[in-house]
Amino acid sequence: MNSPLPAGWLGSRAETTGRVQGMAFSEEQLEGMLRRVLIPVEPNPQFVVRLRGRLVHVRGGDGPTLWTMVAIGVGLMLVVAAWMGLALRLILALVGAFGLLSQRRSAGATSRALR
Amino acid sequence: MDAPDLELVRRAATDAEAFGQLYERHVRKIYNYIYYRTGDHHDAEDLTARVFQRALRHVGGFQDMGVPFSAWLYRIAHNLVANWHRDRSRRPVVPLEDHLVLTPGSQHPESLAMAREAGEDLLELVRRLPEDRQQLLILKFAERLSNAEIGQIMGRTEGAIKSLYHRTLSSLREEVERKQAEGRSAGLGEHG
Repeated sequence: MNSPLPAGWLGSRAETTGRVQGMAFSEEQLEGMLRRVLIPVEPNPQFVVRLRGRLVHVRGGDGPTLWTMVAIGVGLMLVVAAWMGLALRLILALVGAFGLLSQRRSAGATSRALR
Repeated sequence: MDAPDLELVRRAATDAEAFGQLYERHVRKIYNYIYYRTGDHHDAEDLTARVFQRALRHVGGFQDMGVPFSAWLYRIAHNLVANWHRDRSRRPVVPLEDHLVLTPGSQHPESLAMAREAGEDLLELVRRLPEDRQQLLILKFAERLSNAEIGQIMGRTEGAIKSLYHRTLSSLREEVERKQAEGRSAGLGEHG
C-alpha cells in the first residue's frame, strides 16, 4: 500500500500547532481517527427479518443435527432389513410352491405309467 | 418494561418468541462485530446467521456464571470468525466506501478522496494487528463497549484490557508513523 495518511486527516491539532506532515501525534488523535473509521454498521433490514423468521418459526433452519442424521440412518437400515426379510420369505414361498407343483406333476406321471 | 436477558434466556429453550426477543436485542451488535472482522457484508450475514443458529441450539445449556448473554454471543461469533479465517486463509478486505465517515469540513472532492484513502490505510493497519487487538479495537470503537464489558467478552480483567488497549494504541501509532515516513520518502523519490 503506497498511500500515506494525509496530515489534514490526523486532526486539527496537527494543523494548528504547525507540525510538519507526518510528525508524531498523540494517542488522543489516534483514538479520534479510529472513532471516525470504526463506525457502527447496520445489517440489511431484510436480512434481519428473514433470519428472525428462520430462527423463531423454523427453530433454527440449520438442517438436521448429527443425532437426527444418525436416527435417520438407523431407521433406513431397519426398513431395508425388514424389506429384505420379506423378500427372502417371498422367494422361499415361491420356491416351495414350485417344488410342490413339480412333486405333484411327477407323482401324477408315475401313477399314469403304473396304470 | 422489557424482560432482562437472563429471564429471556431461561424461557428461550422452549419459547421461540423469547429467543426472538434476544435476537432482536443483539443481532445488530453481532453483525457489526463480524462485519469488521471479515470485511464483507455477505460473509457477515452468513456468520451472523450461524451465530444465532448455534445460540438457539445451545441456549438451553447457558448457565448464569456472571457473564452476560451478549458476551456469550460474542464468544460464539469470535470462534466462528476465527474458523472462517482459518478456512479461507485470507486477509479480510473492508469495502470502506460503504460506510466511511468523513471529517467535518472536508467537503472538497480532493479532501474527501484523501480522507477516504486515509481511512482505508488506517483500517488496513488495524487488520494487520494480532487477532485479540483487532477484537479489542472493534469492541471499543465500533461497538462502543466499556473496558469492563470487553473484559467479560474476552475473558480478561478490566486492568488487563486497559493495558492491552494502551499497548495496541502505541503499536498502531508507531505503524501509522512508519507508514507516513514511507509515504514521504516515496513522494520525495518521485519528485527528486
